[in-house]
Parts: sequence; C-alpha cells; structure tokens
Amino acid sequence: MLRANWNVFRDLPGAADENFEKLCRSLVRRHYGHLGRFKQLANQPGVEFHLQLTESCDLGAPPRWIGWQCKWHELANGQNLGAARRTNIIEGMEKTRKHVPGVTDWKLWTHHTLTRGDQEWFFALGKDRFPELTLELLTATDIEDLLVGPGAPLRETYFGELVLTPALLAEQYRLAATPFKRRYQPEVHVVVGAEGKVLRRLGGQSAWESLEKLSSALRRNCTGIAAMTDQLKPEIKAEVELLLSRATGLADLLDSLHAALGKGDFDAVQQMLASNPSQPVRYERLLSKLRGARSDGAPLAANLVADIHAVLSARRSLDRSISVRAVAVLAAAGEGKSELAVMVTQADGEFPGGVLLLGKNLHAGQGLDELVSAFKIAGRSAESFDRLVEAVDAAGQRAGKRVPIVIDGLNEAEDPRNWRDELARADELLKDFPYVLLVVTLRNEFAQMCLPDELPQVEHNGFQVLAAVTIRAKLANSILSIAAP
Amino acid sequence: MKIWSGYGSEHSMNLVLIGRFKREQDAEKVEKDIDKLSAQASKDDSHSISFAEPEDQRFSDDMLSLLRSLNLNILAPADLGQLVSDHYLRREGDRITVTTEEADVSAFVKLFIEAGARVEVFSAHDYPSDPAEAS
Repeated sequence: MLRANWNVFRDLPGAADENFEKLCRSLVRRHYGHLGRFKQLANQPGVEFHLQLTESCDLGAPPRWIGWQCKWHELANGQNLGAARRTNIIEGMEKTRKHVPGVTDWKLWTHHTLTRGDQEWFFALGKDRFPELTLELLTATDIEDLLVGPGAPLRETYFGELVLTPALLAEQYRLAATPFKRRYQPEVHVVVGAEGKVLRRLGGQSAWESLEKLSSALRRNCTGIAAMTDQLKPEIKAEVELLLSRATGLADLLDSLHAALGKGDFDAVQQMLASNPSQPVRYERLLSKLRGARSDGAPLAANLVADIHAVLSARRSLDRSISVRAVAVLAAAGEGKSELAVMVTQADGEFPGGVLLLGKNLHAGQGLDELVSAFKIAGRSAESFDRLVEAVDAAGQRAGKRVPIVIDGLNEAEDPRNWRDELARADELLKDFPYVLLVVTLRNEFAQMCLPDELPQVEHNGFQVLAAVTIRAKLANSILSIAAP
Repeated sequence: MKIWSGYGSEHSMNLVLIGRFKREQDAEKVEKDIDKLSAQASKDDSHSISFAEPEDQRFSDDMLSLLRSLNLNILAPADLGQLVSDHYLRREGDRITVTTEEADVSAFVKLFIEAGARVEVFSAHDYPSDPAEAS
C-alpha cells in the first residue's frame, strides 16, 4: 500500500491542526458512523467527536461510547509533549467527564507516536485519575490503515492527486468563465431571487444573515417585554416568563446555527436542528390575557410570538436547504441562467469558488464522466464525475464551505435526454458528499426531458424591475467614482 | 295572507355598533384615535394581516409607536384590518355609530370599551331604524 504523503498534507490550504481533525473525523465517520450515534459539534468540549455504538465492530460493542481528541502537535518525531500539551490533554479528559459523561473509551489521535515517557504518563492517567476511561493512543499509522474502503477517497483528496486547492479552482474557473466575460459586468451584478436561493442552499453564512437578525429581534423584544410586564398578576407573569425563556432559548439556537454555518459545520447544524425539535406555538390565550390586563407589553408580546413563528419557518427552510444535494435553475432564454452560473461559482472572500461546466459539451451518448474531463486537477483531467465530487467535497470540507458544481445550459447538450439518468445517479452519489451542491441550469421547456422527478427546481425570472433599479444605482455610483478626482 | 319574509345566507350583516360615552370629549378622542389608527393601518396594508402567515401577524414599528403614544394595549394585530374595512362611522355628541356589512368589529368594540363606552351591537335587518322594515 502506498504511504500517505504528509508533505502534501502540510501544504493543504487551511490550518494543519484543523485539517488533521477534519481528516480524522471523516475517516471515523465513513468507517464507523453507521454503527452508532455519531456526534460532532463545534467547540465540542473534551473530545472533537464521539460515537455511541449501537452495533458491534472492531471498536467494541454496545454500550461502549468512544470519544476522539485529535492533536496535530507541531512536534518532531521523538520530541516530548511538554508540560503545556500534557495539561491540555488532561483538561480534555476532564471536560469529557463533565460534558459527555457517557464516554467509556477516550482516544488521543496524534500525528507522531508519543515518546515512551509520554506514553507511560498517558496510560498512568487512566489508572490514577480517570479509571472510568479506557485510554488509547492513535497515530498516523492508524490514519493510513483507515485510508481504504470507505476512506479510500480521502487518500487522494488529502495526500494525493485529487487535492483541489482554491488556486486550482480559481484557475479552472478563469478558463471556464472566459466565454462569458464579454456578456456580463460583475460590477453591476445583482443577486436576484433564484441566485439567493442557490446561495442559501450553499449554506454560506452571509446568505443566512436572517438568522442573526431574527435572533436580535427576539432578544430586543424580550428585553422590552420584561421591562413592561413587571406589574402583572403572578399567574400571568409566570406565563410571560415562560414565553421569554423560550424566545431566549431560540435566540441562542439561532446564534449557534449561524456560527456553525460560518464554520461550514453542516453536521453540527443538522445535529442542533435534530436536538431542538420544533414545539407548537400556543400563546393566543396569554396574548388575550395581556391585552385584557391592558399591559404595555401586550403589543410587543404579539410581535414576539410572530418572531417565534418566524424562527420555526427559518429552521424549516435551513433544514431543507442544507439537505438538498442538487438543484435545477429553470429560466426562459436570455433570462440570465449563465450569468447566475458564472456568479455562483466565482470565488468571493473566504468562499473558494466552484466548478463551472457547460452543458453544450455533453455529446450524444456521453455522460457526466466525459463532461467533467474538461476540469483539470494538477494538470490532469478529472477521471470521472465521482472523482471530481470526491475532490470538491474534500476541498469544501477543508474550506468549511459547500462548493457548487454548476452545469450551465443542460438544454444545449447534443442530446438533452441524456441528462435524466445521469442526474438521478449524481443525486444519489451526492448523499455521501455533504460539501458539494450540484446546480444545473436549463430552459423551462426542457425540464421534463432532462430532470429526474425528485430534483428540486427553482424558477429564475431574470433581472426584473428591482434589479434594474439597483443596477442603475450601481452604474450611477461607478460613474460618480470615475468622475471624482 | 301571511307574507313570509326572510333572507338567505348571501345577505350581508348590516351590522350596527353604537357606543355611548360618558362624555362628549371621550367620543371625540376615540373618533380621532380611530382616524390615526386607520391611517397607519392603511399604510401598513393591515387588511391582509388576518390572512397572513403567523410570522407576519405583527405590528409595524410605526404602529407600535402609535399604540404606545395612544396608550392602547388592547388591540391584536389581526384587529387592525377592521379599521380599514368598508364601514361608515358617524359621531353625534357623545355617541358614535359604526355601520358595516362585515361581521368582525372587535377592534371598534375594544376601542369603545377602553374609552368607557356602553356598547350596543345589532343587525339592522332585525332592528331597522324604521320598525316596519324588520325582518
């Protein structure tokens, strides 16, 4: 078996310690995630991720509960941990005991094998201070052992020829977008409805600013109501306090969701949504009582209840958006499908950009595997759609962003009927790659011919009145800035 | 011969709401408040609130300010649409009469009662101003 090239790993975009944790987590998830309740949360205290086994496997048998802490530790092989790192490891165990008390097996995963002295110290912890934990040390060798089977794609996307960097993405984007350069002016581009929907499905934090705004509104209204309902009868006041408590809890949830989106931690988003199920909103009688008591807080309480409904709506929308693996954008000819495709694949700040492919390059009898050969990674054509998805998913995971693969103009293929089965297969494949969103654009009249029935569709109505007004304003600003001395 | 007189479900409510206030100035104030609230409700498109999604059943910031300035805490967002409904409001001294073809008049009832009025509500089909027209 080829050994993993850690020099390639060190050169990957992003911090090595974060990449190390992401790699370890992906490997465990791929190999063992289906054998128990796998959980990971941003800022998970003590362990980065843990697995409560529900089935027996080589990790153990139920009810064993395994937690992993991953430490890249910039140390040379044979170098001791030192006091600070040792303290940090002990803190991790203490936090595990406090925050995930069910964990029975605590695994420390480092790049290099610990020195003999450090190993003795580590295993003594199990006897002296943490007798409830079974301790184990893992190293790069364990990573290499897991880079097979379901973990095999990670060998090339973290250590080999499928390492897709933002620079490679940008270079391929530049080539793919060149034919469109003369047709669009990015300076006057306006995000319209359909593009906004695609951006929300990409799960970018800026596309979900509404969560932050809603959280602020909840907190503002809670503060206002609390100040106005001090004089109420105790029984009504108690009900108001329950309402405020719920609203504050929802504001906390929204802030956590927004933060997780910022880190691109979609698993955490889904875990938070699952562990905070929607409760019914039944406050009509309380609102009536507040109005009956002529409470100054009554009007604001009505708005707070509306805000709670808005939270339920937002979380439904978020859940749907990040669960979507593929989306079709439908529009009439000349309505800006290609502009949308070019814009959503363009790198922007921390967003590394996406893969832009052209539907017209699909020739009769061909499939996605042939289409993606136009995309090159390290000078070589992508071997297949599956391989491209693996590379893009790993790049997205490292960047903490969902990365789009956009196929513009399905209707321009030599035989558009080819798409239907290909897209159905792609949608199924993407279930295992949460950091990839497939976006296809096509004319409305080709939808039935090209799209599998279950593929979500978004209508793109071009750049209409509001957009036109904004474009005029942007143009005016540009002219003014040019005219300014 | 007895002529049977009645009306079907397609008939309107022909509702009459009369508020009798303790003082004329109370009635005047309510009339002015209703004018202000109706103007704001019209700006806010409040007629659509009762059909809106629950998350949109709310007061606008301007309406909140107005309610605060009028010291009115008894209205629900969905009440506001009644103030921009088809109705006719007439004040005569300490008495305000609202006539409407619609059934929901809780906003007026609340505003009248809040100002200390005694309220009477009936259908003019049953109690016409000319008793001979009673159904």
